[in-house]
Amino acid sequence: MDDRDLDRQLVERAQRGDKHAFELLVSKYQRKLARLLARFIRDPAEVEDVAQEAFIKAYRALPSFRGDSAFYTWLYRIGINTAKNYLVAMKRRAPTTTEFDAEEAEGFENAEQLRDINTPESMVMSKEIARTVNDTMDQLPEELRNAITLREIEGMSYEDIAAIMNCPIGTVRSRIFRAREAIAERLRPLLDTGKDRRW
Amino acid sequence: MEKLSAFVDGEVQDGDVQSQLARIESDAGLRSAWNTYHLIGDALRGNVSPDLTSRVVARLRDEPATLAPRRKPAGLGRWAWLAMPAAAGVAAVTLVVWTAAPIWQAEPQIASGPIAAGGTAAPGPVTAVSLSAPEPRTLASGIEVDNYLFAHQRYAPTSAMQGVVPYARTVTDERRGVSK
Amino acid sequence: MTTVCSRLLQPVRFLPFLLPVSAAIAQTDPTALQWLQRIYTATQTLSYTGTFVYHQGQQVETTRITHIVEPSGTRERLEALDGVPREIIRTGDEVVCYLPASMTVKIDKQHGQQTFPAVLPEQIKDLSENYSITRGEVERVGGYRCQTISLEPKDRMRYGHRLWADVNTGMLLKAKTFNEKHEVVEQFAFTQLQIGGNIDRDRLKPRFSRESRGWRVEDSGATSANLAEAGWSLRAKPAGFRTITELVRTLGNTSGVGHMVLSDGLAAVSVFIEPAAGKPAVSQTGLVRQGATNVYVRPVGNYWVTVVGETPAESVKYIADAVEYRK
Repeated sequence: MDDRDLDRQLVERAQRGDKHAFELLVSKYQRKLARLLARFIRDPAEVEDVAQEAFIKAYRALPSFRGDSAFYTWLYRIGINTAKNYLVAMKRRAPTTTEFDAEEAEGFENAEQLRDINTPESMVMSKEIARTVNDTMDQLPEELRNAITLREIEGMSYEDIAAIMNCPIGTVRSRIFRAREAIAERLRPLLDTGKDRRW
Repeated sequence: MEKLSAFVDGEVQDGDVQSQLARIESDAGLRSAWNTYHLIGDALRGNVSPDLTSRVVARLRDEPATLAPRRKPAGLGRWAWLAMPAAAGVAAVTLVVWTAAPIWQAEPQIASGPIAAGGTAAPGPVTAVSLSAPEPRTLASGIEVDNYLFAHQRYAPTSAMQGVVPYARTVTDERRGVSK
Repeated sequence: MTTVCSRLLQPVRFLPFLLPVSAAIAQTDPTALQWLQRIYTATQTLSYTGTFVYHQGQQVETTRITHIVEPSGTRERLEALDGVPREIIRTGDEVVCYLPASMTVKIDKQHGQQTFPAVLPEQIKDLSENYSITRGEVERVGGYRCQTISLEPKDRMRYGHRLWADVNTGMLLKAKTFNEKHEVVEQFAFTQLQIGGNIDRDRLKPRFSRESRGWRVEDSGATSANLAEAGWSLRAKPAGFRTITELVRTLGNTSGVGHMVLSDGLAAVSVFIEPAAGKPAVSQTGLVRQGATNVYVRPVGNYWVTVVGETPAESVKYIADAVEYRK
């Protein structure tokens, strides 16, 4: 199974009426979608609104999702249309290039653009989270850091990572898990203190 | 929890998926971990922004549940590098797939090892033709040599002839204890 | 000392050596030297994609390669399919090597060096001074008919080679390197190959991106240099070896490393000169070998001289011993 298969299984559950499955998809793709919409919409607060709107539209359009393309590809098209309609409704000029090819949607995200997707209020927390993640990464033992980097940044499968790190797949699994848990533990106090539970 | 971590990466046995998903959806702890793990992944890619999920969830509560007919999953064949069709065109265009018969099996296998010292030691001017062949020694660490090998590789003979740098010599493979 | 740049500004000289493609397919019988020229020409003109196996000592490695020649330049990608994981991308004169196991990327860009490989065709006729070059039988390598060419060294300063070149295109499909005892020290051969035709450009796309987080970048920053001005020279060189390039570069953690490349037209030897400060303690005078590559290290004052080449041990030691500093 791979990432695309997993999404498909979630979509199938959602199509059968399971809203929780859709929530898992929202949780997974929300920031990626926000990043995409920020290319069209200047105001981060509006980006949030449009992203939310796009997810609702996607949920309503689920019956017409046929699984020919990846879920995210389908989602980003809905996102772009939602953004366009929003800009038109606000009587602002929609950008002329609306055809983003799928590769760009999957493309590498620039680490320096937190500003595009954060309001001044959320910026403080976002920066703190980013800093905590980076610091914990720097302190991780090298094999844990490399494993999670190959997975999250290079998008490699466990099998490929195992080949590269010359260890069993079980070890890759364990390393990635331990890296995640180490970071999650440092994040927990931050996330719990988010009074408005926005995080 | 480790299972969830693997699950997030899509690394599970197929049969398990639907029941795993059911478990995740119904368990607050697992859901929270799912959210956190994805936040971590996004953060590593430079993407941190406020969580929308709760707001979307709130709005979804008002939406009627969708019921869509079950579709057959599309086959996701992995394209094979080897399956390139031979194309018509430039002069000699041939696709050849060779079976695994090693071409060099007839040749004697040479393990890296000390070469026999040929001739007597010849101290003297550098221009002397006959020199004793020095004995190679074990490299304590392969890593130091790598940098030199890499810098040198682009000039190596096979590179010169083939325009290709095999770069197979670029990195000493400590795992196999090849350096001798 | 001629610099690499000035040699490159002589393309007209190459023309008499070039055989038109149509003549190559015709039934004429080129001399062995002309076959070598064909092989070199093929490297500059052919696009191909395939898999080759490289064999050295006990080590066997499979690599996938795509090589595309276009008016805008040559691009190439190699992926190791086993052994130490690595991916190499070459664009023009820049070579980038990704080593995901250590999350390191090595970059070697040599400004001003337009052609790759560095050994230039004008030296082909010089090869016959140092090697006996003969044509052998036509043998089949996979589905291709190949002309075999043997290069026997005339002294102990270089290795022998046998080459298998496709009779139609001149493409090198297989090669072996022999030591002084006529034992094979390394070999490579294509196991799968498509020459020309429709090659998917996607195959050139690197899997990794050095821009992404986590990669430790080692950029050689190589630039042309005149090492003699800095006081370094070779008292002598093995017969037929000429200096083909001189650089200053970063190697590992050390910057300002002098790098001189000598070649007899086929074999190449690199001489590295770097300050002793900061070298790992394990370095000591002596020879290290891996397959066809010999490495000899020797101190000169408070510098280390490291010589690397696909030549016999005597040759690298000879060159290392000939390095001197005079100011």
